[in-house]
Amino acid sequence: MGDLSAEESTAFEKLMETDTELKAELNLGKEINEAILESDIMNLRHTMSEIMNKKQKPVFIKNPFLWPATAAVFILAMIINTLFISSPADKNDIFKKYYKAYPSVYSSRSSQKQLRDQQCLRIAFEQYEKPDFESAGLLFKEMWIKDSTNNMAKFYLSIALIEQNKMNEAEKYLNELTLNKQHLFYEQSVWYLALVYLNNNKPDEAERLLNKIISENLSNKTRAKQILKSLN
Amino acid sequence: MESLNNELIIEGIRSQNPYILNQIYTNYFPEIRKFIIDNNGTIQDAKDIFQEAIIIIYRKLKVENIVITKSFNLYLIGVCRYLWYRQVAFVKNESEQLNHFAEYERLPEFEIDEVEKNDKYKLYQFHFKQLGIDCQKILEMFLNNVPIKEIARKMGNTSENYIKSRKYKCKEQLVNNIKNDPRFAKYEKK
Repeated sequence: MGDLSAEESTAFEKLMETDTELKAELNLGKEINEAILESDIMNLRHTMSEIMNKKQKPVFIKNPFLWPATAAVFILAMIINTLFISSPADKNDIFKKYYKAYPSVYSSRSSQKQLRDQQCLRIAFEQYEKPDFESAGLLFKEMWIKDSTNNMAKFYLSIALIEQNKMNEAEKYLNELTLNKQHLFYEQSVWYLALVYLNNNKPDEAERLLNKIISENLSNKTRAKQILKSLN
Repeated sequence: MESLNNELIIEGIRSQNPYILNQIYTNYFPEIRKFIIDNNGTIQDAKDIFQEAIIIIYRKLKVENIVITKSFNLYLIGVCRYLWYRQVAFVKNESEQLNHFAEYERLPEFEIDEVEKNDKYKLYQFHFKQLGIDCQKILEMFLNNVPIKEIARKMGNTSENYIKSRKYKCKEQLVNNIKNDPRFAKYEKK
């Protein structure tokens, strides 16, 4: 009540004692203010709601004749695609040919870290190796949010996203990783970003990165040359 | 779930770790769902109760640590059962029955107070989230003591008087919406 004088303040307090309606109104205002400031609670409610709504059971087709029919149509579509549509330098095929999830690097080197972080990291890599890329991705993201300098978490988050076919998100994180050369995952980030560009139908950007891999003698130089050759 | 002990689960809730929350949901929700459905609830009721149970545990963790002597599963189910009985008793206005259930579940006083607060604040937060984004931002900044000048700048270089008037109208709208919600009348009676 910083705006009230001492006299006004005393009068107000007296009024509060007698006027229950006013008291209730002020309490409500105070509680609402407190509730608005609970952004952490609102975030948690949002996260829980996202988790629960995402986990809907898949709908299975019950008609026993539908699966063979679907399979037949699919095989036919594949044959037509192979015979008449595919070109030798299909960017998506290149992606599939050259993409392989980066191996897990978890080791006991992290033992200097606190137990909690260590456990989190261990579980993330366990999920990654299973592989349960959705869970691993969530954990790597959590670690990266907690520590934005954790490029390893960001890199593995990107791979987990690729594995979930969330290519645009993966592109964003890999792009950020390639802006800074001073980390252990720089060269791999350039490589995976080039592949993601191919998958996302951005051949110019992919070529630029593949040329960079060759000119700067980065990892995967030979494969970059092969891809460039098949693209041209 | 073998690798997630009580300590890690508690830490996961405290830090709102999406992976741990996901694991808690995957592993413990089926039992909660069964309990709610067996007691005349719906799947949506089960989800609401599960969500609020996690939030109540989080609220408690903000104040003090939770020591779970047995399994986290039993603890969570205890909170969910209490919340469900509470909700049923609330609808039926059977406070005596609720006291019986509370005793049965042996919930510490803290949880019961937190449940009360959580119910009310959930309603307030629901209506807060229904406001326009501008209103939400202005109210939040005011409450976080951001200077009016700064708020005016952030809201597109408007005048300070406009911001003051918007803040007043937003808060008024929020309070009115809360008061007009039938659920609020029930809280008021308590």
